[in-house]
Amino acid sequence: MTSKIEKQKQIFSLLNSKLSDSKSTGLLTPKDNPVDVEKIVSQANFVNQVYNFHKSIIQNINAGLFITDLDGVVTFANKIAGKLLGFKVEELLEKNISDFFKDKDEAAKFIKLLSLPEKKIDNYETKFLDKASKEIIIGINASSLDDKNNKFEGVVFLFRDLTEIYHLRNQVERMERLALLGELSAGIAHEIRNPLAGIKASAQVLQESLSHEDFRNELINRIVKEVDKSNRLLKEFFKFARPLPPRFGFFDIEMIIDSVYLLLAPRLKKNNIKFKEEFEDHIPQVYIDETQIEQVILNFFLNAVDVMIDGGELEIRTRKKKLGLLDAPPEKYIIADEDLYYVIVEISDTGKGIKPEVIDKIFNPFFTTKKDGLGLGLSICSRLIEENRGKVDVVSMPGKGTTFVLALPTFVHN
Amino acid sequence: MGDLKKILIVDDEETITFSLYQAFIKAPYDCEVVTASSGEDALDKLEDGSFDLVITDIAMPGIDGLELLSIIKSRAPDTKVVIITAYGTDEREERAYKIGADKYIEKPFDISELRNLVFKMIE
Repeated sequence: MTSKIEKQKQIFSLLNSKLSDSKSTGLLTPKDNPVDVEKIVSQANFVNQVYNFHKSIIQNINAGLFITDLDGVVTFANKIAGKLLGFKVEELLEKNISDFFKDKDEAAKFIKLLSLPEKKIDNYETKFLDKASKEIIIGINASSLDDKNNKFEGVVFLFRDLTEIYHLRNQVERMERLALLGELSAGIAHEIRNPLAGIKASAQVLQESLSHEDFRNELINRIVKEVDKSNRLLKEFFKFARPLPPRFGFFDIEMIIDSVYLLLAPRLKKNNIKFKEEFEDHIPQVYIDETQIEQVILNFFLNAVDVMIDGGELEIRTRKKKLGLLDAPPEKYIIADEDLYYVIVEISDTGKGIKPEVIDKIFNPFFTTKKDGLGLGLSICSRLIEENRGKVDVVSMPGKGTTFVLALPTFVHN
Repeated sequence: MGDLKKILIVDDEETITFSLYQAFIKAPYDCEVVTASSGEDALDKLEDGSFDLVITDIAMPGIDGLELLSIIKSRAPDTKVVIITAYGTDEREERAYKIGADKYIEKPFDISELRNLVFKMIE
């Protein structure tokens, strides 16, 4: 294995070292042909330029680059590959590509695929683990490298960190799914409330014909009570399905957080939960519906209380984040470009965390892990945040806790 | 109760029109109650005579409750209109009040509350 690495190192040493003079290139030097000194120097300079050009492409391309032999052993890695995976470039050499795959079985299949002649793999999505064992969603393009001049066979991998895109795509899909489910729930709720109204009105009219002492009064009371109970549930559906249109305005997020904290302070104390807030300085005001976002934060706080039965720490942090390339640009805004920020609100608990297999479902309506939960809290939050042109995401470490991350706009949108 | 009050109840749900009919005709309320099962049916009944108050559902095939409300308010602005709906509190409520609804009530409603409200409006 080492000899193979040595061979490849030799081949790629050109790319990894600075070409300082023509001697180190092995090209013709002036003493080989004193007559054409100028021509040879000029040729060497040209080769040097071409070399540096290619080297800078490889090192600056906005993707990680691995070259491996046919067994998957890394023989070359560019700087970005190291940066993406948290390694120094030299630490990557001699590792096997499969070492980075989260799922080792998948890695074996992937490498098998690549051993097929002329095989190309486009836009393959998988999960890598970086040096700190953090999961990264990776998009890979791979193709075989057949370098006859250097007698080298191997594979070229170009890979990109798709984690942010993946989360964004998940958010959009979730929002679309929830909107659809919202419409469905609204339709069903409407259809059920009509017969409920008929049952309640008939029962109450019937009750008016009974004397006060009649035992059937109690039966009718029970009918009405059950109708009202069902109706309360349906009203929750409506909250999720069709939140009221937000009444937008500029508000201080810190004030909203503090008002929710004041409301819950006694409960936090009773449950032995420490509260910590960390507000970044000079946070711009957010453009939202104050009541709706207050409801969202209250819900996240209440969930945190529920998951920390034996006490813990509830922490809320705020910071600002410039609108990224991946963020949909606002259709209309009335402040200058340089002021387009989201305010990020992170709410962390030290509860038992969310199992990875259910984390994608927690915003779905009727999904709950609580004994007597309806499973509408987080889906309503997600809908409200969407209505407020914000975003919500969740990061959870089983056994350590969960962080909900909200992004709220600071700009006027259409 | 003074003059005999005339109420029109419009809903495509027969159980609703039937129970409301019973709730308003009985003593001591003694209203003259007419029921209609659609917006079109309601318009026919409105042609036949004037009403003090109309209770109407929103979601009905053909002319819906909000269209009916708009027609009533343009032809007989003094007629009170109470909207009863199985929809939640949403943009329809705002629209209904903009068009001129006197009250917007969600189904299922409490029969005695509805009756008290109606009589307060037409007394």
